[in-house]
Formats: sequence, C-alpha cells, structure tokens
Amino acid sequence: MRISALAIAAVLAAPAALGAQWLNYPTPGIPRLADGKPNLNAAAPRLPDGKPDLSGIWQGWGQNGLFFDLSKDLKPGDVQMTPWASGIQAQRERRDHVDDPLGFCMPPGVPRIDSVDQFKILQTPGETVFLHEAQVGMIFRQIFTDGRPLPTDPEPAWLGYSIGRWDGDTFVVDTNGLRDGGWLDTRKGHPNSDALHVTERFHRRDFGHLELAITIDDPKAYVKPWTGKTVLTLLPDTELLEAFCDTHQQTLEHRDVEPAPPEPPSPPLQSK
Amino acid sequence: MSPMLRRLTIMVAVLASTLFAAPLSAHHSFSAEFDASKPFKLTGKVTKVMWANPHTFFYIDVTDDKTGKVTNWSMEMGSPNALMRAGWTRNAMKIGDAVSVEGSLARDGSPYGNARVVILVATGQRLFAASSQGQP
Repeated sequence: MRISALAIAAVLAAPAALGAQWLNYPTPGIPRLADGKPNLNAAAPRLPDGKPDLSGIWQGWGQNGLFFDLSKDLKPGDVQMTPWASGIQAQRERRDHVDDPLGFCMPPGVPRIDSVDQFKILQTPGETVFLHEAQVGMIFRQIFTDGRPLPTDPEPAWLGYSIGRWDGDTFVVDTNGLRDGGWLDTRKGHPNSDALHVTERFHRRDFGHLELAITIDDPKAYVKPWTGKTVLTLLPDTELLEAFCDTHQQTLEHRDVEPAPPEPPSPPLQSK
Repeated sequence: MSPMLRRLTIMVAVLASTLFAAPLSAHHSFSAEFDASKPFKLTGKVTKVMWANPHTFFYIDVTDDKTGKVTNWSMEMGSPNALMRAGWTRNAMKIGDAVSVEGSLARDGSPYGNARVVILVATGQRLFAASSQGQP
C-alpha cells in the first residue's frame, strides 16, 4: 500500500521533471559524495591529452554583482575612463540603465555574455564552444583553438571574434571585433569601443569551480587596461533549456521612458 | 531499495537541491518599468497566466475591501526557465488559484507590478518569482 502510494507520486512527479528538457536529470560521470550529491570539490577533470576539461554547465558570473558593475571589486583609479567613455557612462547611469540593449532583447557582448543566466562549455580539439541559455535567446560563442590569428580588420559583431590557447592549465581567450558603444555591465553601464580587446583567463580550480579573470584593454575607452575577477560555479544535474525572446512586446507596453540622446561614436584611435 | 523508490528519492533530492540553489535572475529592465521604493502586497484570484520569454506574466482579480470594486492586475515575473530552475512547473499556479503577491509597483501608476514572491493561499507555499529585482 505504501509502495503504491509512492509509485503514484513518482508517476505524478515524472512528467514535471522529464517534461522540461531534462531540467532535473543526474549528470552522468560526475564525482559524487556518499549521499549521492555532486562533489564540487573533487579534482578538475582532464582530457586524454592532459589538458583540463572545462566541459559542463556553468552559472554565469553575474550572480555576485559583477553583472551590475564589473569594476565593483576594484580600487578607484583602477578604471580610468577617457572623456568619450566617461560621457557615455554618466548618461547611462543617470538614466538608471534603462537604455541597456539587453533590456530590449539584444544580445550582450563579450565579456558580459558569460555573466548572464547559464551556459554549457563544449571542448573539441580545434574549437571550444559556449552554448548560452540566455533570457534574450539561445546564443553560441565559438572560440577557435586551431591556431588561427585574430582578424586584423574585423567587421564589428556582438560577440566579436575569439581564439583560445593554453597557458599551463589556464585557457586564455582573446576577443576583438566587438561593436562600438557596447555595455560591459548593467547598472554602471561601462562602455566599450570597437577597439576593445578582451582577454579571459579560465582556470578550473576543481570540479565545480571555474576561476575567471577578465581583462579589458580598450584604449579608446580606458586610459589603461583593467581586470575583473570572479569564480563561476558548475550547475550539475541539469541541462540547458530552450529560450526565445518571443513575447518581449508585452514588456515594452509598460515601458514609458523618454528616448535617450544618441551616444556619440568613439573617436579615432590616437597613435602613441 | 526498489528502482521506483530510488528514482523517487533521486527526484526529490534533485528537486530540493534545485529549490535551494535557485539562481538569481538579473534582468535589466526593472528600473525602466518599476519603482523599488513602492512595494506592494496584494491578494487575488488568478485570471490568466502567460508563460512567456523573457518574462512570464500572470493576472489577478483584486477586490477592494471597502468598495467591492474588482481590479485586474498584471504581474511580471522572471523568464519561464528561471522559474523552472526555481522549482516552478507550468501547473504551479492555475486559473482560479488564490495568491498573495509581493513586489514593486509600476512607475506608470497602472495596476501592474513586478512580483518577487508569490504565495499560494491554499497551501501557504512561497514561490520566488525570479524577479528582475533579485530575490529576498
């Protein structure tokens, strides 16, 4: 009798758990504690070639407030804006970041794309792929590891162009070709220009934690490069879910804000 | 342990861990539409649920205790995925359910709010709404 009640409960529970694209499904092959919970402090996995395996679903790094202000852990003076960047940033913050393209279902750029929602890393010999389940849609990011160089005169793109290499156990991703006037964070609205070069250094400290240092090198927007640091956490026993920004109009019906004065494009790069 | 029992145990454990690890939702448009300095708490009956991206909406009929006037309020929550990752299913809240909602009012003064917490009156269950304002 007791078993049959449990059986009914299990049958009732199953459609909810299985219906949502494996939202709750034990990830095979991950280290577990005696009670069956994932052991996030176990050693980081490695591929047959000895390199760390970054595979897994990671919670975006914006959870600890860096989504709102990428410079929040830095000292004043670490982030020195040029007059162009300073003017744009002041307007964005004064308007309480209502003009953030992310709020209009546009994709975030690099590095902010890795701060939102969650993403899966797939590591193959010539390419590492980030699959993002973001509220603004499903977005893929390609990081080529086949030895190609960054483009010298890239057509600007939301996610730019990324190449990766190993520095010991650290996966170093370089990105250029980003769109002018991008947003590095949300509440502060730190801008970037089309001259931005992002370096992301990923280090899988243990099974469940991925250390990340993000260096912003953008001579049109910042007087000197600056680096934000964070740690991403593995999301075990789940999968990515479908996400389309398909009913955004409903949100916009309630949005009543004066249009922003247009932001000026970045000035030409001064030769040093 | 029978396979069925084991399956149920795993399911419960997984669901529990998901509930407690509910990710903060950090959408962006909050300040464009809502005023964090205007909190509300309203109780009403659900009239419609729109399970949609990037925000799920639901509507409740709220009766004014003094005048008896009924107003239909719309409420914004997080994305369906954020809600599911916080333990919701599409059946967590149904038309006709009585719910108490806590959140922030719309800037434009319309009967519209950003829901932070939804409480099912019948069971007292608290469901966090994956609000763009962040969770308590």
